[in-house]
Amino acid sequence: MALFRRKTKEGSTRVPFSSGKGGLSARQLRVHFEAEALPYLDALFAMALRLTRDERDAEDLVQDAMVRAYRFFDSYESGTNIKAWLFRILTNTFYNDIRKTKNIKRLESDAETGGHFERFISASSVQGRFAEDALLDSLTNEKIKEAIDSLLPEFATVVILCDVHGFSYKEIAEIADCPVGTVMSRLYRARKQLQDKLYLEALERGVIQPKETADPEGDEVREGAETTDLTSYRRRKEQV
Amino acid sequence: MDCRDVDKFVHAYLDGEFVEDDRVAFAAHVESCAHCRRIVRFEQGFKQRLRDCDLRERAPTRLQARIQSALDQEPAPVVVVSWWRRPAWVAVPAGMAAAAVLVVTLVSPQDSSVVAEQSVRWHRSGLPMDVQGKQDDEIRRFFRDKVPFAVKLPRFHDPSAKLVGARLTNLREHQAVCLTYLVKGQRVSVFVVDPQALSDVHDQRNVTWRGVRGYNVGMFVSGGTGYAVTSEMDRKNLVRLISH
Repeated sequence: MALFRRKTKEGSTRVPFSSGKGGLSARQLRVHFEAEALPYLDALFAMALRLTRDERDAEDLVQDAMVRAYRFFDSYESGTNIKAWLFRILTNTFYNDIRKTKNIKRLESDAETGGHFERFISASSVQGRFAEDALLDSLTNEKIKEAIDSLLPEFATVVILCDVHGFSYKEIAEIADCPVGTVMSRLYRARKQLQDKLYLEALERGVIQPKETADPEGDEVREGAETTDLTSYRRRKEQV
Repeated sequence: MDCRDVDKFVHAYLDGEFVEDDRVAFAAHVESCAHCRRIVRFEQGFKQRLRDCDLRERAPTRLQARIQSALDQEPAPVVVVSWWRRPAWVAVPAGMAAAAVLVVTLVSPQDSSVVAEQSVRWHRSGLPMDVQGKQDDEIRRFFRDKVPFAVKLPRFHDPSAKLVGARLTNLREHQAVCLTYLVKGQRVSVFVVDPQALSDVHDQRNVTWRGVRGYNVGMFVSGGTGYAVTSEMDRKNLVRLISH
């Protein structure tokens, strides 16, 4: 293995580079890092903005995450998913550092759900259209962003990773450092909360009409909706 | 597959997370059930609406320049660097201490990476301590009959390093003691463990470094005891802390 040694100011010798990336010089390594990581700057910034909700903080967060990523570039295996790796460092940096100083509310339990909105806003159609279609049509980008920003960061994170950046559940689990089951239940609840907020908001604006009667069928479906565990479903299916 | 399953798994279905069998069963039910068709159509519409919502803001152009100048300040990433500079509390024959020799350890991925991963997990967990804010002697006594090795505590030369407490834990299949220190407001966990847990870190002169999720872990064996020092502190400061 080729070793690239360089003298540091203190006069001791360090090996600036290593095994994984096959004997690159410090300069080459830097170029390599920038070529791999910088294309995701916009995506990371967009994520940081949703986490911090402030442009300056988002810039600081992306910078910290990039410096960290560079520092730990050795633990990234070439050819694997660098986007997920960078997102993981970004979210970790956010939770570790920013939260400590800014005292952002922590997710105490996953139990928070709204419960105002059920997918069947009305059993009957309103003016020839389904009410949920009216809800979807009434949504503006601004309102959706506001609703996402009002979620706890843990919930906002999974929705953005999934719907905006298209990560798989497994990748999200790695980025958010939690089991896939938790990703699923957070996604479920995050989307429910979003729909709930947007529904109430649309009601307030008068774009949709309140639900007139309870929909027993819809309620029944909701009751079993607490777990989102695919394994238990498969197990149940096998027993049939 | 019934209506309840559709409510639960509609997201997994739309997010493309179903294996083919499940996807077919799901689609077959939805095809035959107007109620579920409406759910799927709404969730699909909602997902599409989020996707179209232009949440992909562009980074300001100055950010790239900022990052590049921050990277200029960083030393080149160091991989498995082995420092001849031994930890201050490590006893080494006097003659050996004089020579500064660089050694590169080719670490097998097994032991030290597992230990690094686990020590970061324990470090992050912030579990309560078994014994708190005591003197070194009391900690040693506390663990005397609890672990099958002598708990030799590090002596940091940084006067701001304060021992906060300790707890029993494990690294791989070995019992370990996690000593928690505060150094200038930053938490440092020092894991003391049977050196067998670190079978690929056998050279007493070297500290093997690993980065795990933004944390630094320095591992070494000294006087028949294995150590894993874990912190968010950057590597330079950690080296300074343990090597005086």
